[in-house]
Amino acid sequence: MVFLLPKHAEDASAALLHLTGKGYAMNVLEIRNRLIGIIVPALLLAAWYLVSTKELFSPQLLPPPGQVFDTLKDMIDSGELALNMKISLLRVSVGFFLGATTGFLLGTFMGFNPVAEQYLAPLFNVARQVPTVAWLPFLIFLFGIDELFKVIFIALGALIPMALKTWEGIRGVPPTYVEVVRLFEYGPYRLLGKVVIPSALPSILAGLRLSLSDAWMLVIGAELVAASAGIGNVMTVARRLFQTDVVLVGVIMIALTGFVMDSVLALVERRLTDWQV
Amino acid sequence: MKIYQKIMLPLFSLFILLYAMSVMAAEKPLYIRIGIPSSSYNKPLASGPLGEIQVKELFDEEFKKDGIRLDVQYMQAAGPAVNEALSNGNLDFGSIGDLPAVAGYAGGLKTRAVVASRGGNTYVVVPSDSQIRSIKELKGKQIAISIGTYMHAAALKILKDNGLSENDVSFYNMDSATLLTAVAGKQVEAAFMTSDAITLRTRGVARIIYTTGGKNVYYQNAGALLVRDEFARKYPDITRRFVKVWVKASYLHSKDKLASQKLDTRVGTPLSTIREDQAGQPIVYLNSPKFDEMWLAHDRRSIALFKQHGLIRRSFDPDKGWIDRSFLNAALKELNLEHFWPDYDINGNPKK
Repeated sequence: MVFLLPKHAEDASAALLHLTGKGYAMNVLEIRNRLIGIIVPALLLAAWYLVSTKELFSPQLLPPPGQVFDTLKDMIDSGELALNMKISLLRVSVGFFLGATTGFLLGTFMGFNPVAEQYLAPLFNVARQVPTVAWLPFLIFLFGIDELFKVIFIALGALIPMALKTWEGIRGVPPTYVEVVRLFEYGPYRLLGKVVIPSALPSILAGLRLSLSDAWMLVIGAELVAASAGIGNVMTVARRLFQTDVVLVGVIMIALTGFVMDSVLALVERRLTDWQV
Repeated sequence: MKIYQKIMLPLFSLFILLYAMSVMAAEKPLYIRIGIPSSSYNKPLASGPLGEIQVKELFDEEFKKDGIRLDVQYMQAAGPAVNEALSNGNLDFGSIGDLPAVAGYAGGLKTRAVVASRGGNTYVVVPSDSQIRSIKELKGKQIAISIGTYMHAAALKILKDNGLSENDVSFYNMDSATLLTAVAGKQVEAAFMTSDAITLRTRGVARIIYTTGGKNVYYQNAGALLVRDEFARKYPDITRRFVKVWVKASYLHSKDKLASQKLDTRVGTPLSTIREDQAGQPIVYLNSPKFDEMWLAHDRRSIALFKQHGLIRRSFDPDKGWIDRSFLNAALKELNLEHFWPDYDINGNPKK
């Protein structure tokens, strides 16, 4: 992102780096970069405000930001938001845990075992072409509309990116690393723990982030289609009762939650892969 | 003079042309677009007064000379979808139930209620082998319903009478066609639905545990024909004439109960279902277009209940700004039907 900074800012950062050490200079850069990242959302918010107050769109379809934030406050005060977010997050936690764990195990298995890879790779390559939402009608047929269907739907969505990235990461471990370890006559578990997993870690963590992001989107999808609670269901009910402000509160909460979840995983990713830099 | 001829004259002509075009555009639309909830059988046909308009070509009788055509849109997602289409200007009129009509207006949708409608029953069904026998036993159960429709309104009232609320059950939103499949396939433990319940019972897949049939009119639907306010302001005369066509159709649909019921089978509902659903209700009552004491009392009580349960954010008096009787009164006078339909009291009985 440094290329976005004007020349004098880079000079100033370089000077600060020279004078006060790496940490402070990085902070200045990060703060500037984050401020730049706020510009577009702020412009969008201003455009939303202008468009809605000038009634360029029907105010029933696009309520002004103030009304949406008042509704958000009402929903927080009444406990409606917390209750439904809790339900959605619980669903996503269970589905993601099951999907990501199974995906990791399958990816590792395929990465290590050439025979398993030969058997399973074509299936995975076909399965990845099917958008998870396309499974929705079939899963409802099989499991009904209750929690089991939602958890399986989310797990299925979380499994595929996790398995593929784990498999990709393990296949990408340089053969020379493995040779060196074999020279020392390490057992398979040590090989996995000391060489393969650390080397494949960036890819596995990328899979984890993708998997969580997919899981969060799918819980909303499942709740929009068949649910009696959860943030997706709140949006469905609000749409049916012509409460556009509540629908927009739902959109904002989904975006913020997704952003927070991804940021936490990005932080974990940075911490765990620091040694590679 | 040359400048005048070269610039001013064409500009003036253009202005006159544009003005003439705008006047012509304001005088009449090409289409009158009306939205209604689609039947569970998804047939592109209407029942009730609109069915009468289609079968007897009443619209063409009034508007053919103007070159205006009728565009009927059958909304699978029912009244709430009609509201959305009215909001984004894709419809001019909508004939919908009490909850969607009220929720739309309370949510800021600029409509006018121009003709009253009434009489839709709500049924509570369970799969035929279910152990559930009463409304009280629905506590904690998975229930299919079309959220935001008149059945949702009735559900609120029925649950309340039995000491329950929406929070005591799990409502799953479904359109009417999906709801039929969900009950037949036992994907839900119960459903609040239209008279399609009778058809399901006849097929042996469901048992009816409750009906609003024979109960106080408060539990039935009291919807309305709505017009988009902008359309009514732009085309007041077209609106008046369309309401006249609707009232004439309501009159024809009020004359012979069996003939009207037979006409209504065109959407796919069996005659036996319609007859059982409308048993004990005079056809004149079912087709009355008047905003009488019964309709107003029903709507006011319902609005208070919807507000109390958070289905609408603001309360309002339907008779202060929403109901516009001018088109209806003009139609009744023109068709000499001012005294054809009696005014009904709060319990649905004709006033003396």
